[in-house]
Amino acid sequence: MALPLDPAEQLEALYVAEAPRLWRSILAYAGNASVADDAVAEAFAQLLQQWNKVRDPSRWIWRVAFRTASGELVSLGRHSISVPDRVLQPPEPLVDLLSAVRRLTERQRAVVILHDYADRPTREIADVLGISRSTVRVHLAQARRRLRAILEET
Amino acid sequence: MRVTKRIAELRDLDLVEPPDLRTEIHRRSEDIGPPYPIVPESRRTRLITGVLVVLILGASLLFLGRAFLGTEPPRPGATGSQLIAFAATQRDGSGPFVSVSAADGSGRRRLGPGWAPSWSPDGKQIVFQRANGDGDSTSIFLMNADGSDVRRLTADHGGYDEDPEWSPDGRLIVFTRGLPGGQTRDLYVIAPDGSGLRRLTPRRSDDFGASWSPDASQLALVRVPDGSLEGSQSRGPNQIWILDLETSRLRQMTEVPKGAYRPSWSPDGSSIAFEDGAGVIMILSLSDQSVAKLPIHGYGVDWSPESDQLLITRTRGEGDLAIISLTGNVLQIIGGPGRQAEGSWIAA
Repeated sequence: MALPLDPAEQLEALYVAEAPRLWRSILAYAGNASVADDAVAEAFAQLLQQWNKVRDPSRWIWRVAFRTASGELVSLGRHSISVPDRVLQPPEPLVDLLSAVRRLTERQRAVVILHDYADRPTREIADVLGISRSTVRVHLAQARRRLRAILEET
Repeated sequence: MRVTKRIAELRDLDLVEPPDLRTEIHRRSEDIGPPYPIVPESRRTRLITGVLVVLILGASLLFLGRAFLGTEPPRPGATGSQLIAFAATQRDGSGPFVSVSAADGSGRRRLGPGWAPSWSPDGKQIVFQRANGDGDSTSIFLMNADGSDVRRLTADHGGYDEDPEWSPDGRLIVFTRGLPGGQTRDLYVIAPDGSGLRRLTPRRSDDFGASWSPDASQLALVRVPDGSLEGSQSRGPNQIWILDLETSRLRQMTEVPKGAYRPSWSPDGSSIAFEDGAGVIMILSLSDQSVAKLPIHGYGVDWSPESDQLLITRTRGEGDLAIISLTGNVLQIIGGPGRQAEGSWIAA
């Protein structure tokens, strides 16, 4: 961020600007508040170590948080670990929509949330997920098509 | 209700209150680095105001910029004696399908599911990327230019094999591989018969999106500086590098402030076209390493066989695929039903 602030203020500004939306994005992606807490906290804690090296902290924090969450999901799936989660009550009709989103594949879910909720451009989504921009567009189109079918079922 | 309206309801996520993670960040940071600097509440309010002012100013400038920028009318461009392959998505959202047409957009044919096509140098085959199973992984496939004899070139390893490009001498295909759960991407080559799979780049670095030099001795690629998970995006944004395949020596070729993506080496060897982090098309001259910024946004650049025009996927303005001059003038728009992207151009 190009604000004339000292590092402590910049970090706080980044937290205020990015953390809430990042946390909600990972909540919708992972379907688990504990994973969202962990990924966001871990990404910001790691940023402290890298602060003087990272030129684009906003983009960096999204990438590290999403990849941390993705790694946790892989680990949870592989080891069948049950993580106690907080009970959250999303507003209606968001419950149905999130339920439909969770029926997408992991990558489709990530792309549709990053694009349609977090308003990240496809270039940045490609960076966050480590895939090409064209693959992002393919996932987005497929996610929307599948969401349409799921929502029409219900 | 239209699905786009339903998806827009994702914005209601803003009503879910996130926890304050500052204390947890502080606790973790004590283990791995300096303590997290907590800013008093009174200063937080000032910071939020500052961020809002910057955002409003930025949006205003963007609006004014768009208002003053016009779109050039299309002019006659390439002839129909050359071919392009591209990814086409249908109006109903199905696809993408690898498709081919003449370079003037005529004679369009749909070949089969896939995207990111690249011609073999003799124009008889096309290498492309296709989803496996439920679509969360992709592999590299080959087919004849008429869509027949589709065959798998790389196995499904659960990750992504992407952006294949056939070498000008026809011997190898380079592509990007991202392994599942991996933090970096690597460049690989494989022979068209599926033999000789080989990694070209160090595993610790994040390298992707390669393009061959005309003599097939070098590759232009995108490199994330110090591309480990912790170091990714550090020390500046992605830049274009050149890898010498004989010596394995790497040279950084650009220092673009917003970063550089998806290079395409011109057939005459003089230049590398790419897009920057803001999606602006740029041309790197290899004689003096100067970079020319074209007044057009897009991605997925490829050169005409004569190295005098570019085929791009536009992200602003009319049309998905466009042929442009080397100064950025739109010469021809290649439209059609649905959307078209990422063209590969070859002399017929």
